Amino acid sequence: MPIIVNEDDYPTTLLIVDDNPDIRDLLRLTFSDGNYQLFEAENGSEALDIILKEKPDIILLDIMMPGEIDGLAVCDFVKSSMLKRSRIILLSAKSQQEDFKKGYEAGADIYVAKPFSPIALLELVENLKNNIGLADPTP
Amino acid sequence: MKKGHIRTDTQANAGLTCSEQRFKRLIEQLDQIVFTVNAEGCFTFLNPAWQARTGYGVAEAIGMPVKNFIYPDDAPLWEQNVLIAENTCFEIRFLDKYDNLVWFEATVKPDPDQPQGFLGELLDITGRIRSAEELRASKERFSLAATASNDGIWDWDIKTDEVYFSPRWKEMLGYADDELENRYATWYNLIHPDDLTATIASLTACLEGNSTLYESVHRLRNKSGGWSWILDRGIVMRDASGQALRMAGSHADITHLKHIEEQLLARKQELNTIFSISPDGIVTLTSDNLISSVNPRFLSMTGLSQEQLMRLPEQEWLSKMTALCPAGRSFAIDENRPYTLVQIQPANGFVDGQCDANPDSVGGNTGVQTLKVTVCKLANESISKVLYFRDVTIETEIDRMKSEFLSTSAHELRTPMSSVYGFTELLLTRTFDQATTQEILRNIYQQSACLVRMINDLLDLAKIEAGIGNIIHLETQALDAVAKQAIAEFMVQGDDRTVKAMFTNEAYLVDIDADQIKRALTNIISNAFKYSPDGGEVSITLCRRQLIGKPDEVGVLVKDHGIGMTQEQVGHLFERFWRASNTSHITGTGLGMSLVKEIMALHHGHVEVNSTPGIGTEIGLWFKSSTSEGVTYAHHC
Repeated sequence: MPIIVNEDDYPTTLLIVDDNPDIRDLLRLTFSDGNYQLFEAENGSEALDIILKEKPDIILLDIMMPGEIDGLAVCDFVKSSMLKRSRIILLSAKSQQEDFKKGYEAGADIYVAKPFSPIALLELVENLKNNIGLADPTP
Repeated sequence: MKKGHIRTDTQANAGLTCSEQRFKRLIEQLDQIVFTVNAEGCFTFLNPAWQARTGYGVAEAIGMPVKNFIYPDDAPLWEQNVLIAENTCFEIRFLDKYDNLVWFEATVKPDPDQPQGFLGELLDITGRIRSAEELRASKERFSLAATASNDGIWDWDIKTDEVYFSPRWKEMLGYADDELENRYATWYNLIHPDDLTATIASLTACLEGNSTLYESVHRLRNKSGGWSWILDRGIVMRDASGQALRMAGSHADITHLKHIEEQLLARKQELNTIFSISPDGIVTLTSDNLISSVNPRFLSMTGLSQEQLMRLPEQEWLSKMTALCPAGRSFAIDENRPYTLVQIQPANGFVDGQCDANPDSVGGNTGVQTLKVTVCKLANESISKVLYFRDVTIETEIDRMKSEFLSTSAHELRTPMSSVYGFTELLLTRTFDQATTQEILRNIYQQSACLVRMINDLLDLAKIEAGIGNIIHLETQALDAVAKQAIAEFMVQGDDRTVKAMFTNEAYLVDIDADQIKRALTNIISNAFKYSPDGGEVSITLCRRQLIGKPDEVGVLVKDHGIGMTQEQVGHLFERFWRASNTSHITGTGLGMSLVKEIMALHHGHVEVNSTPGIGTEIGLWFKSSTSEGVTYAHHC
């Protein structure tokens, strides 16, 4: 497993991808403690643009979004490309066993079903950043 | 017969001798016994017939008292008749040499030549008596048998037309012995008109033909006016020439049996009908595993024919069924389970009209039918197995749609719930400035409101689906009044928006449930404003139209000048939870138009959508024009 280089001088870059503005607001607020440099995308293609440009450390990725590129496609692209490997957390309202399976098959590091605990998610991201054990953000 | 006379005159003697000889020969030839008895009651003369009838020699008997030969019980009878001393005729029994009874018809009269002597003849009637006795005995036996079996007896003398009907015969029909005349017509007149021709035909056939036995089942009217079913059997007795003289027979009351037979027949027809109109396919198998029956529904389900299936061994039938299954599937029934679901895809699709009547929106056009097969095994019966096939294609599809709906609903509830849950947690764990806190609370409030709306819409949809909402109260209403009420109710929410109602004076009568239609209209008006972010007029018009081949229709049209929809978006408009991708900033559940569609379906009306992106949307609700106007008109004439 590749080790994420965490240089303390630079904040962790985090991309929020969700078509729902309320969820984006929530995530922005959650990660607004100054330890993260945040990017936001409303759909798959916007997300790809930012990924190519900013190469975020962590991506919080919704699955169902309008447009041709959904979360799974983004995930798949990131995992199969030659880019620096971002850690991906899928955040989806889809919560069936088979949805989890599809998510992990697409290469997600973690699959989180909505609704979720923002505090637990923050903790999860922190741990992921430090590459230690994971907490379950599902209430 | 005085010998003295013969001896006195030679001439005469010779003539007499000649005559006597002839007389003697005549006497000797006679079949009956000729005798003379003297005053002492002893035989003085007997012809040879004596020996032939009694076995005693003539010489043996001459000089012996007559009483010696008479059956002791009948001796007084002889005495009585002889004492009368005049011509008398009676029946009397003798005992022959071998102690057998011999019946004679005796004719006795005083002998003019012998004081207190008698002469006479004895005619052997033993044969006649015997046959009479036998007849009587046989009658008695028959009568006894008939009584034992509770049958009625009849005996018809064809020449005299007299019929003996036994008391039981009459009782069977509810009559006392003296209530019915003993005539042929009595029976004839009681026969049921519908049975008369056949009954008389079989009787005549028996009388005129060579047949001895007659049998007929017919109804006779009984005393209470009802009909008794009678099994009538008889025999014909004929003379030497074959002419029918008598008929005798018995009546058995089979009314009860007939009723049971009728009930069985009716029950059989009933079961046959049930079998043939059953909505389930039915196949029965014999104990040696051959198909013994299939009902029409099974044939229509599978497209197989009766000829293909009857007497077909089970294994061959299962192969045929497997051939009907979608590729790669086999027709396997687990008989140990309560039922098995199998899928078949008959080559010719739906064979009869039964499936066409199903809602075409369900099941698609794949022609794959899901059948629920139940197997019943029967022990020790001519049928060993019954298989029931229920077409559950629609139920299966509805089940699938329901669980899909449920999972979609749960899924859709998660998004607003994420905001509520997440923001609340942040508020509880962190400290924000006043403005951010307000912003977060507003967001939580809005999302909670969205959840409430969604739950309400879901419940309404569920009600309509469950059929509870199907109970709508259609009343003839003026559509303009209902539309005005809908606008008024919408405006209660207290904003300065206006709906331009462009109504004429026409009432536009329709049969609707006003509450439901107001609900639908409110949804549409709400959408019109929501998706017109830059304002723009929202108007409602009413109109009437008649399309070719369609009934007269009345419509209410809601028009906005909002963002509009693409053709593709219009195609998704009635899908549950569907929301256009460019509207995530506008709150909504994605259920409003589904509700509108369901409400219109309950009214047998329909929804029309005209929309152009950037220009606006027009939603039309169309109803069949109420016929009440026509009725009112006719009333006035």
